[in-house]
Amino acid sequence: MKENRNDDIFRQIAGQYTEKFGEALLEENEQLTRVCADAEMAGEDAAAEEMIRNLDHKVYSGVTKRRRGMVQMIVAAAACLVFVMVIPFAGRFIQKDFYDTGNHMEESTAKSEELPDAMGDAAEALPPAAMPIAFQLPENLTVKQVKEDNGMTIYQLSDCYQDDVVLQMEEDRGELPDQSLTAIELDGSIVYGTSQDRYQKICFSSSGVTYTLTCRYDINTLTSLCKNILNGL
Amino acid sequence: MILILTFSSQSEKDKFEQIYNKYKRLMLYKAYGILKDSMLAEDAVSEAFIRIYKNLEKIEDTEAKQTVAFVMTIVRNTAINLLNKQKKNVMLDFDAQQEDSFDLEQHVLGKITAEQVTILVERLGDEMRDVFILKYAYDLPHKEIAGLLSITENHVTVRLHRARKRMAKLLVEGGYIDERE
Repeated sequence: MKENRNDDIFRQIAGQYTEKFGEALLEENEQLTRVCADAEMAGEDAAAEEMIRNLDHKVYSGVTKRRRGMVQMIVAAAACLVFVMVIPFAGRFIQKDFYDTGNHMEESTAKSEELPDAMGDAAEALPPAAMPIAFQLPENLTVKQVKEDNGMTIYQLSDCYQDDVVLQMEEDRGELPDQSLTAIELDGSIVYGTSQDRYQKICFSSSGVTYTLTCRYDINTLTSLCKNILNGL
Repeated sequence: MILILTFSSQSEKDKFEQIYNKYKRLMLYKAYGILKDSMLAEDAVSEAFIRIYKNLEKIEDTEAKQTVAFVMTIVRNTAINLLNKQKKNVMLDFDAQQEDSFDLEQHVLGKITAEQVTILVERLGDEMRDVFILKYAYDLPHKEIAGLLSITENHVTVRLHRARKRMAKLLVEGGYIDERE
């Protein structure tokens, strides 16, 4: 019931906004059309006209009257023809590929134990004094950039859910956590964090290293990474 | 790159052409305003037309305010997505404000002008605003919003949740909420 009532207010607001926004846009569109028409007649604004021509070429030249259904039929028929012709020969290659893949996987697994996969190209670019990542990153995070700054290693982690993380690592100096942070229990360990509008932070020390993690939107983006660090995964 | 667009009927093709011819300049203008680059603006508008093409059935009147608002919401999103791709560094916003949960159930919306509504919605920020409008003005399901904005459904859910919380907070802070008698 509460959610429905809130939604009614939100619909009211969104509807009013769209009405006002649309009205302003229609006026702006009319003005722009008049201005462009005048400029075109006067031979001005060649750059804008070039953009229009480029857009026409990209979008409009591909507009056809063909029925979607007919195109799909043709594509399907062509696919069937290819399928019928290729299948007799495919079986010969499948078995060979399977064994090749198996050998390759064994080699890859051995290599992957040397460094976490998520380091990717950034592993080659690790500054000399930087602390390496010795734990598994959650599958949504990959290293985008790493730098070393006065004893602190800073990793910028790209998130596939667009909540990128900054991970700072430095030697544990035994300093007390910031008083403004709240103690949180995480998998049996105590970490310190805060969750605010567009700012999430967790920090803690483990195995002689102080970790500070920040992201913008969701504290859960940080907690899964914290668990991996704490559990030595 | 040239887009190849096919239509199942002449009326559908006519609708697309009307939208294209009527709004292409404004879309380019808006995209250029965000991207400051003509080639990127063309790419953003091309991408927007792909998404419009895929959602053509949702558009009834090509000259309605809701239609132009819908079209501009999409092109604004494609332009901002392109802009974000150009940026190399992660920018964390340290504008830390404590967020209170607020229950609107016990309150009613007082008189609020159209200008005030515009300010409120714009204050949601680009990401939350777009999902908020597509959800509540156009009543689109999460899956379709995800397709239009080129994000995951999970993302839509998260952003919508944040948008609701933020809007509730803005309504309270702005004094737009009246207590029920």
